[in-house]
Amino acid sequence: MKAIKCKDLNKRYYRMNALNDLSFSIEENKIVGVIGRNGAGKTTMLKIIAGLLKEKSGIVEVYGRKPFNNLFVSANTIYIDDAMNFPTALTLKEILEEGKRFYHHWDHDLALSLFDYFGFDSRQHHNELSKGKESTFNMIVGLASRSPLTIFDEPTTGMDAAVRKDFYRALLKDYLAHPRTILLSTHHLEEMEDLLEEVLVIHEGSLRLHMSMDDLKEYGLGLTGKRDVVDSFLIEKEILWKKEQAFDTCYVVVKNDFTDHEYRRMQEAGIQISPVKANDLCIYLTEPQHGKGSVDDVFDRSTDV
Amino acid sequence: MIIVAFLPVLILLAVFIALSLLIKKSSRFGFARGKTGLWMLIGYSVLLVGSTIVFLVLPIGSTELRGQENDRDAEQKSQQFYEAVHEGKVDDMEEWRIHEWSFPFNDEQIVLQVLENDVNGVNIFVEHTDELTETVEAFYYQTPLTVNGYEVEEKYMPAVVLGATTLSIYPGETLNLKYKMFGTEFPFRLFGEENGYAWGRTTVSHWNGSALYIRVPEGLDVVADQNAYTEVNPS
Amino acid sequence: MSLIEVQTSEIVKKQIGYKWKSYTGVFTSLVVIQLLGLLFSLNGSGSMGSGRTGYDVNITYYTADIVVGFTIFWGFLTAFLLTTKAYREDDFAFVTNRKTSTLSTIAFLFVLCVIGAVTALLSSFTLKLFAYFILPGEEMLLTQGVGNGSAWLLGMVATILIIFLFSSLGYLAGMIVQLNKMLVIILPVVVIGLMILLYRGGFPVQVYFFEFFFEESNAWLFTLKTLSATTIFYALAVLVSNRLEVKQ
Repeated sequence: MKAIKCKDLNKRYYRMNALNDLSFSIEENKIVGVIGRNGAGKTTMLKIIAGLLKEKSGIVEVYGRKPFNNLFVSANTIYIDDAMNFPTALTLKEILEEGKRFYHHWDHDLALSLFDYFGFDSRQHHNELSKGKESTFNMIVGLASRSPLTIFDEPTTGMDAAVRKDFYRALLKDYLAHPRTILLSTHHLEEMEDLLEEVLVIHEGSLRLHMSMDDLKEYGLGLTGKRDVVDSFLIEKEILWKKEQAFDTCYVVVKNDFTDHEYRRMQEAGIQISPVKANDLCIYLTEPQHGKGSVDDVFDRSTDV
Repeated sequence: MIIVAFLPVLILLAVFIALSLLIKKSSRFGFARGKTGLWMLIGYSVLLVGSTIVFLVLPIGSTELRGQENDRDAEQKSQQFYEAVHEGKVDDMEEWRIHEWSFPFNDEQIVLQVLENDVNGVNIFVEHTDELTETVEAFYYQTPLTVNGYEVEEKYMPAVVLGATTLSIYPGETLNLKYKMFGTEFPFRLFGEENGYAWGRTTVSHWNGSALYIRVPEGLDVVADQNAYTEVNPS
Repeated sequence: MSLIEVQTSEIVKKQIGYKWKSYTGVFTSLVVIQLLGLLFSLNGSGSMGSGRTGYDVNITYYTADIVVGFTIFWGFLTAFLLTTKAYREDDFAFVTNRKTSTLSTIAFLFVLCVIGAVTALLSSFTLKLFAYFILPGEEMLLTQGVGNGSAWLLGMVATILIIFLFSSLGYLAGMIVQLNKMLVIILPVVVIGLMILLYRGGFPVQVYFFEFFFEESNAWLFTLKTLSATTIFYALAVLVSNRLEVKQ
């Protein structure tokens, strides 16, 4: 059984399309990264999967059931984001105890150990925490719940690098011990490369790419060289990103489906071939279609006037 | 007027909104932090239960209202009373006697001076009797005043003073009675009469009667304003 | 991880416990509002002066009617408050769906109404004790009409039902307002405006409302009326809430 299945998923907020015919499916017990720019629809998609929002049209199924307003999905899913609304009356310890009451797979020992490790005070309240501490605490709840489907929406907001690293390790260790489906949306793909098995790249409400992490690492190829020389190799190739550089050279990112023969010819033609990091690739893939160019252009333009 | 009627509601609304904002936002400042609400409720409940026990144990007791029935009784009594007064049946009135005065007097004429005020008027009755010689007697009668069927124990009394030839009657001091009355809350009054009483239904008896009954010797000339007294001739 | 099937009743029970622990703020407002009511009640619910020959009688009446009234209002406001997004989202931190969330909120509100009713009626003893010892007045008369326990129980049930009825109204109003924040202003204007219009047109709906419920002297009919009205209001609220999404 697929853990998540989406087909032609649509969601609108007033006049804005948040999701556009999004289709994908995810196998059980995978760690999947959800990558996309701000406003790409990641959060909307994750909330629909968690059953917190209702889809406008299309099919969405979590363990074969429609998630919206579904108790079964709610019992088997936990959705963690940086705006978790825990009651202010409860202390952090009490929130963990509530988690224990609600989630059948809850591992209270793990929760308490992490709680101590990250230096929480049991008498503290959730709304007294700093941003990073809050994220850390939410992460503990998400891990300890051991929900068959665990969704982290930008879990590392505000965390410092050390805590982020701890988080990735804790997540990986707990996942290996207790495999389950984990969805992670993040802006720190480079940190999570070793953690993720699959990546979903969301762009402007639809699926841009869905592949394994290993494939993604080899998906793109960076070519640097004289413009006309490089261009001659780009016929019938999928150009992902192109940047003009000084002295008639350019840097082009292409989908890596070159044959060995082509490789050799490019090297002979003096083109520098470099791998493209997954993180950079994702940035290139999600470049806005309209208004090409980088933020530099904004400043260049203003100096012209 | 409308604003006054809605004032409690507005006050409540303001208090409630202020409280819920405080509770939601202020846990950083210690007020309503965590379990404060629960502890407040526990403390408050202790106060309530404690006072309930004290109240029930105290001899304040729970006495039933006797109201209406007693009122009818009082009406009858005061009618009897007035009949007895008008007919001079002194013996019948014995139970209502509050005070009596007796003065030696041997003049042929007595002036009756009534210093009245509007509030505390007293009905004066004069009887000439041959049972008395050289003596003037005065009796003050009053049927009991009841509030909700409870007899008021403090008694009002005019002052009667004999001068050289004048019998002066002064109104007594008005008795200020302050009562606290406890009603039942309206949910108890919802069903039927017998479960509770609205405070509007309490009664101060309208039927308390009073009279100053003066007996003078036969032949004594009583000088007074017209209508100041009623002459009684017991048959 | 194996998948778990959960029962609605199980989650509702857990949610009630969770709300009891989480929403302790409602008790703060209950206590404050009842103490405020007690303070107002010390002034007496009414007084009567009466003059007789030689007597000037002044009776001040004390009942906890104000406290009960305030508690009814508190029930309305608390239900209204629980429909706001912050409280609804608290539910969705853990396992729930809208059905369990609503059911547990209603059950929790009922528990609150029972607590509110019991404390409001008990506060009458505190009030009387205060009046007895502290306030001036020479003598004390008691109208302890509620002599037997069953009458007291009946009054208690009536109080609970009334507060619960108003809480359902508050819950419905709250849910309607959640649809669109503008309704916070529009709803009262429409309701009060309609009341005034109908009143002008010879149909004083608020009078009928109070007559319908509070001039019912048959306890069974009263229970039936209040409970069915409460059910209708909550059902309407559920219908309205079905248009709401959980988190946005």
